[in-house]
Amino acid sequence: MIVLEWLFLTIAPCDAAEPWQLGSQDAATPIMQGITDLHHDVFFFVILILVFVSWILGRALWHFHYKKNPIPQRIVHGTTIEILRTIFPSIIPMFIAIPSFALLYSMDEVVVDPAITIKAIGHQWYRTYEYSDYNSSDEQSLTFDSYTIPEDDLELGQSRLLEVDNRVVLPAKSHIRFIVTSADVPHSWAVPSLGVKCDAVPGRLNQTSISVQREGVYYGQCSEICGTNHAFMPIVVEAVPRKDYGSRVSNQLIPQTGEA
Amino acid sequence: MAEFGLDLLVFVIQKASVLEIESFTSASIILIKADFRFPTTNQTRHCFTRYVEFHRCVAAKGDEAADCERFSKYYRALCPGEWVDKWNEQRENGTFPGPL
Repeated sequence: MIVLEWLFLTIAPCDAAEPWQLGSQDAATPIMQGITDLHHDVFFFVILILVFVSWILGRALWHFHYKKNPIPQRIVHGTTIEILRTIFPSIIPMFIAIPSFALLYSMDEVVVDPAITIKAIGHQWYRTYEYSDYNSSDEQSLTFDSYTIPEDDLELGQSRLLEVDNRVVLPAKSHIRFIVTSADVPHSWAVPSLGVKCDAVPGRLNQTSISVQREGVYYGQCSEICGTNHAFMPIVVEAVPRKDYGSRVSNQLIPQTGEA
Repeated sequence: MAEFGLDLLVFVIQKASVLEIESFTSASIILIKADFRFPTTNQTRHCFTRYVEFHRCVAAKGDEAADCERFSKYYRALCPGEWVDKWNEQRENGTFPGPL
């Protein structure tokens, strides 16, 4: 087991963080895929610069060592090298900026016709989700709270501090609009695999759109310090096939709405 | 999209039968389109505007006007229930801060 961990061959617990994880979690939305790709693109330049600067530094230390080169040279100016070391460092950020801005603005894109709208409301210290597309009056028919499962109640296979009692069920491969807000202090609704991190600010509604490309269970945590139990209000998103969505939601929610 | 709409319809019917809500009709599945007056991440004003629009519609066309149904879908999809409750209360007390 330990050897497997060394080789980074651990079994990923669905789409949640794993011990000693280095890279991003597997992408489930085009946005997350874009973020991962941008990371790799930028890393190309980072490695290039790292190697080049180390090489220059190494050469300088080696050739201008005081024993090897006791009399310092008095060069204070060199036009060619100054032009080069100005031009190249200004071109490189441009190559990084182009894909970066493209991604940034694509994340900001408004989905024209979201299939459903889900409201994620942060509380100290739990989350409330409202599915209001089906309401026919101001009374909320599909609203539920999502609390973390205490450590003592965990079942085998569930992740500590990540599992919740009521998951957000949504259809895969459809455009979903999330309205993120808070009822008390700032929280943040973040799911790494979906490439979403949206601040929940009281008195403000933030919109973010996602389109989950594969069915699965995605885990996230509160990403804005919100008080004592900041660590105990995780997010679990369950993407189900479109055809199962209706029954899944009604199965999960109707007993609760019946009680209320 | 059509297939999904059908699924939603099935779901809505299932739900309606369980909850025995008479007003659950196929009209409940009007898809909410994005509004290009509000193209940004911040949708606070969007929710408020839709709420005001609905109540202006009701004021103009009467309580049960079918035309207003659409506006109610919009604001219900956007506004948190808590906000709607607060605004409803304010309207009753005559302290609602919007142009009704």
